[in-house]
Amino acid sequence: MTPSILQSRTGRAVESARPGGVGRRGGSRAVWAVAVLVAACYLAPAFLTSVFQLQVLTVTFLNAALTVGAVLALGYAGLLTLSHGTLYGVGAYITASLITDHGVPFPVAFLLAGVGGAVGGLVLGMASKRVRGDYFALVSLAFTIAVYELMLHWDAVTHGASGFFGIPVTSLFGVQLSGFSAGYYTCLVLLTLTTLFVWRFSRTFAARAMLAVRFDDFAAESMGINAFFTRQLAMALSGALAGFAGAILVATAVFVAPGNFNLLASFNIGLWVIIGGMASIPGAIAAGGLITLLTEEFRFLSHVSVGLLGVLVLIAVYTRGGVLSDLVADRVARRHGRRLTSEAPRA
Amino acid sequence: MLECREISKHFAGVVALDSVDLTVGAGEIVGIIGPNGSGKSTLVNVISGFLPPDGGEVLLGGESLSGLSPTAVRRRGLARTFQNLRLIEPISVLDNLLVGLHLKYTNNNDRYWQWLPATFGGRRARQVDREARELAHRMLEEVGLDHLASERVSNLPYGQKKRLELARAVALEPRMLLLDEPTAGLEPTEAHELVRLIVDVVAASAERGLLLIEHRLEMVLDLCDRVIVLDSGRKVAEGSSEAIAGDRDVIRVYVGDEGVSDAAEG
Repeated sequence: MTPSILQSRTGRAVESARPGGVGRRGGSRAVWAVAVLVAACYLAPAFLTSVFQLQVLTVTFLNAALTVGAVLALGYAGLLTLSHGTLYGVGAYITASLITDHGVPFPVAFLLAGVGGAVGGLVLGMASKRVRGDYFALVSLAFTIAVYELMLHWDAVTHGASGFFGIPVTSLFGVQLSGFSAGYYTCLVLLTLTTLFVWRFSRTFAARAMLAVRFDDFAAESMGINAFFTRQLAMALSGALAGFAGAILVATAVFVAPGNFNLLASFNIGLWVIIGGMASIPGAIAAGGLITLLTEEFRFLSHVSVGLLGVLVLIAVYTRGGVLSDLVADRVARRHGRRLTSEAPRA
Repeated sequence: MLECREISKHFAGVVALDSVDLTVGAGEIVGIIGPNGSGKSTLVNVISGFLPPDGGEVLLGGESLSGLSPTAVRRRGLARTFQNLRLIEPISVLDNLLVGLHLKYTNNNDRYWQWLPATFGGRRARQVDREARELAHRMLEEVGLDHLASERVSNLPYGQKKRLELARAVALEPRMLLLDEPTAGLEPTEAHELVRLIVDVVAASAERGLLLIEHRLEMVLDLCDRVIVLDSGRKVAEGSSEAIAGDRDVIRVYVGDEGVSDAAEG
């Protein structure tokens, strides 16, 4: 078959997208681009003299890692959760409480934060047995508000509205995690590991089952896929990744308060995933990272930024999802000709 | 192989199936014909576990399928296709087939945690992944779609989607296969090719039973060892293709003019 007979939607000849075909070359270029970008991130502190810039990048990495974790629940399993920021908060509170009030060493607290996030995800995921789509979003909204109120008022454990201040300096295997450049590297490592995990996971049968369940759970079940287990796996993994990110927040920031984990935090993460293109890992990093970076750098424009986000959402809706992914990340995301990024969420 | 005993199903007072008996032996191809609304698709949905029957029992290889979910029915070796295609459109052809192979590589033996080794590497996991992909490519080759393996399903023409759904259904070599109007919406030439594919690929296994629901009379009579005629949820005739084909009156009376004109078209 000549390439002109059947072209993929992007106009690329089908033949070139075959594994091991011409597409390989495009893939290796993408690998180089990613390698250069990662190297630049790891070397940046040597050249950055401004502490402010370092901190901005630290938050950028943390938010990008959060967004990548949310991709599993939102993008792969299609669960419209507005609670990712809450599970992040659960991880943060577990860590903060354990290391300040109970003297638990950080590595243990870190693991328990992941477990806490996963359990939170599973509790919320129970609702997917009954409700889907927009209704699941509403349930997760209630979950987010309930946990937020708990953080605010369960003084004995959460220290109420003031949260945790003066969290002891954390270290992992003798390496101190807080401090400006240590915090930078900690968050960068978190982003790297989260991305590697999600990327590796995205190639498994379980990840494909999640996509099948998201797009047609009827067909998925006729294929022998357990839809509920698949959704719960997505919620647990997403929750665990959020919990780990929460632990890292505690390790790198000096305080934790309920305000970090309100509805807006969860809403933003969901927004970044949608703008990034739902099931796109590079899209999630680009959206979560760039939007954080821009909001931090242009704080003096904060009154406009909300409006700009609104415009982005409208574009995302009208282009059926995936603004950034269609422009930039999709070229990187394409592997084995797979293109998952331009599909709007389906109820 | 497959045995239906007095299957009944009502929808809000409307009788969709009225004590339908049916058997499909190993290696046998049985066709079901009948006009729209005669209960053909309801029967498929009941057998495959998507609808619970109001009465009667479905047995597969002597084992009751009553009360089992579609997932559980699939695990016992009964696969189906859908009248309206149900492929996962936004992902690639190869990935769709891999979804069809899900059971074999994950939870067939409760290997729910297959994603763990697959995510964290390990030579064994990589080997399994390579095997699965090779098998998927072989299946695609058999239905003539391997050159489109990396194409998004939504970019495929309808006829090729039908082929893909067929390949996905037989990927795990089910012992019983239900095809719900496999040639619906196809051009006569495409339909003819698909029938050939069914003979070559689907019915290739001597052990596999095949239940075929069709509108095209000619195709059913060509392909099937035995034909069952349904009307308003009741079985009104059953016999060899020759007997049914010879008895044009049966068709005129029970399938109606539609069936006769279908036969003329097909």
